[in-house]
Amino acid sequence: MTVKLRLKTALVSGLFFISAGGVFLHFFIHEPQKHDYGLVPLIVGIISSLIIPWLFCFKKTLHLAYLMNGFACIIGTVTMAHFSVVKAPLFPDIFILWAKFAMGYAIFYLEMFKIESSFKPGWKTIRYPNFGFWAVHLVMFSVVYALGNYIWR
Amino acid sequence: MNSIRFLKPLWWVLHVVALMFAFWLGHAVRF
Repeated sequence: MTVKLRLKTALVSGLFFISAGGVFLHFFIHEPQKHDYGLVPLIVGIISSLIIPWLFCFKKTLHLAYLMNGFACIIGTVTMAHFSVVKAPLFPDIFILWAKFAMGYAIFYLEMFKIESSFKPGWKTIRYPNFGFWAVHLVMFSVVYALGNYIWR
Repeated sequence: MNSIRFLKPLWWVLHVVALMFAFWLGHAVRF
């Protein structure tokens, strides 16, 4: 077993544990039977804890896993930021969620690039798979979500 | 990029679905 494989295994299991923690946390806080939106953390959480770590295991499905992991983090960030504004601050949970993003990012870069290589994306950072891509999608998702919240009542 | 190559022709569809989902989510979530 190579060190790379050990690292990858550790990260994939970390991803599983952090997502499973999220599923249980949400399930006990707002039951899906009571609110429609309670299904969103349940479904996203089950996908994040079971399907995404499994997809991260194979090079063929690495991109799909990276995309799904990033968007799961974006959905969680936007809804929990909304909760923070309206009810009680949830930024500790948002921070934990971004640890999940970092794990996915680490697995992806570990698998895609040589460990000693370096590059400067510059403005290309907004293109997939660089970090700016996620920043742009986070901002755009927040804008559309806010519009939905204000306009459609 | 093999695993997401099939997503490329679906770029517009994906974005429209994502816009609709984000808009619905904003509407549905009332804390």
